Amino acid sequence: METEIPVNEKETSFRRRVYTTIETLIDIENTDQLQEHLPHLHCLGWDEVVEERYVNKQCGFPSCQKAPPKITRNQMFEIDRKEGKIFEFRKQRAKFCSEMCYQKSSFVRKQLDEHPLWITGLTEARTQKVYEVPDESFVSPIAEKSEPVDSQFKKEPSIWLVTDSIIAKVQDMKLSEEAEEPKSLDPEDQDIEPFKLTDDDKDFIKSIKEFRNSNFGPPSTSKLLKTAPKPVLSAKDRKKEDEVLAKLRAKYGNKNALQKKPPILIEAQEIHSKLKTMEKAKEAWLVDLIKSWFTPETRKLVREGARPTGGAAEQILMDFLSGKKVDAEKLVNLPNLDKYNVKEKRLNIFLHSIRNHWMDLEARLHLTPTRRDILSRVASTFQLDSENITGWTKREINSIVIALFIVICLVDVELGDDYFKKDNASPELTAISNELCGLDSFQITGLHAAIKSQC
Amino acid sequence: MADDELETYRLWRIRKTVLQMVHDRGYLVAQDELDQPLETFKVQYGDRPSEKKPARSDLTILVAHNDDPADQMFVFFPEDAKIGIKTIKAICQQMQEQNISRAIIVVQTGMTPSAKQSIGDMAPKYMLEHFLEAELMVNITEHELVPEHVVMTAEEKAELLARYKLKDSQLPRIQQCDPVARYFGLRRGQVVKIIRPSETAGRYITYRLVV
Repeated sequence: METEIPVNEKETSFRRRVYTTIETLIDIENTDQLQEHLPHLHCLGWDEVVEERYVNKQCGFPSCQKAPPKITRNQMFEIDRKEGKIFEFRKQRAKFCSEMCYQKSSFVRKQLDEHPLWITGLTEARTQKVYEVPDESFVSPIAEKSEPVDSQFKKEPSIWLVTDSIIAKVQDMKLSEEAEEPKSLDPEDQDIEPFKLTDDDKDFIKSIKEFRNSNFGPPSTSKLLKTAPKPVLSAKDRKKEDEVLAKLRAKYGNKNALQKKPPILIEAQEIHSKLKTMEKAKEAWLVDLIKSWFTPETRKLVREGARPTGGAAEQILMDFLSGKKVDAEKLVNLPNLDKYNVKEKRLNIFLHSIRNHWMDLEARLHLTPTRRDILSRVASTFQLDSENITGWTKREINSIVIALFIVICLVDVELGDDYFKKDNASPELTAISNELCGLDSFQITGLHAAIKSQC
Repeated sequence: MADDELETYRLWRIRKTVLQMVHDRGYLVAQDELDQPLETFKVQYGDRPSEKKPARSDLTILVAHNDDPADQMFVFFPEDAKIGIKTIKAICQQMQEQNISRAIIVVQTGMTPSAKQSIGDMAPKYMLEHFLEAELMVNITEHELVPEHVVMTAEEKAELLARYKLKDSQLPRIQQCDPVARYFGLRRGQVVKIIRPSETAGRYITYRLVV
């Protein structure tokens, strides 16, 4: 094939000169001659020389007489099994007999002009430039460069600071894990963890920043940094943890226990009560039902009795004096997002479902209707859900009514004195309950004790 | 060996295409060589290329032109996968010894840029053309989509230009590196007659000037 004849004669002559340079460098025998040829060469020209020499089964670096190792493999990639990495096969490197020749070649190539002679012309920059030609005593500049990097790392002991604090952090995490293992289901854990971590992180970042600022500071400061934060951190942490835990307990503490238990137990008991009509079993489901209703508020009500409170104002004042933090959000009566107030609706359903039986009981015991207020007050504190407000048989409702009466007896001390002298059911109550739902005095007393233990 | 089998087959195909190409250019090639089946090729040259049976140098062909027996052409098959200036020089030396001015080099994988440049430098004295082995696995002129190309002689070209009262620059063009132009080894200034089938005219003839 003919190449196009360049119009410019000067360019032609330069091209020819480059070509002859390449031609001579292929057969060059010592590095002294290299010096005078280099001004005519550019980077790609040098690559061509290397390529030509390699094709002729010579080492790529001019003047080297050795042959490059023969490569029989055809693969494009090499797999390093130790490192678990894949490298591209170094085609350039394979053209040289040794790493040294390769380094020499790249050392020369770096000094060469990027543009070919026929573009730049024979400028002074080219002719005047002194090219360093590597000889026998050549030391690879790349190897030299890599050394200082290593020594920099070795010289700097404060680099250990970073790893140390990481270890400390990891240990902290382990400790907190161990401490919280027994109550692993608590959602509190998740709340505490991020708090603590961010604090730790801040310290960690701070220490790194200090390390950065001091840059290559003396080892003494690094030691100070390494040891000082540790005790401070742990004391702080303990304090923080306690505070946070206390806060969370006040907020969610007892609720969690009750919220978790009911669904499991009720389901079990419902099946149980249907399978076995035994009295004992009946008593048990009653206790469980009441248990599912009970909230801290109910307990508080039972404990404090039915005495009229001084209203919300007094409550707030008392809370304030006792240093209790008032959750303002809960006090505000926000409009219902749902169309109905579900809680109120449930309370109504519940009261309605037991109403007739309650009135019957009231009539039999000759109670004044004012007692019904206590019932609604007690019931309003109950935790009612769709499972435990209605759907009982008459007999069951009767026993529930009896159980509620027992609760009210606990709330209203006067009533309690009337019907449960020294925790034993009065004969009047026993007779009625026996007639309504077949509970004897022993069972009533047992129920009373069970409910009392709940409070 | 499967590799040997494949390599032998490749060499046979390449040689066949080269002979057809040389024949199409007007050089003398025996008909039985053109029709040589793979079996005969194996018997003649061997079937173990990995053991240099045949070596690529064994395939070297020398042909003479029909019209002028002094006009001879070499076809070289260099051993190296990639060839450089040195191989070109060696070939030129051989051509000089034999007093032959034309040659085709069949390259396995490629040539260095400087080798290509050296071919260009030799151009007026020694006409070297190079093809990759992969290019010669099939004869492109036998392809359905490649119309018939006929290379015109200098007299035919002069007649054409006179008949249509044209200057040669007024002809349609074809590049020198066009695969068919390379197949026929066309030079700049030559004219090729392309005869292609046409649905309306039966066949349609164009003339193209090599640039």
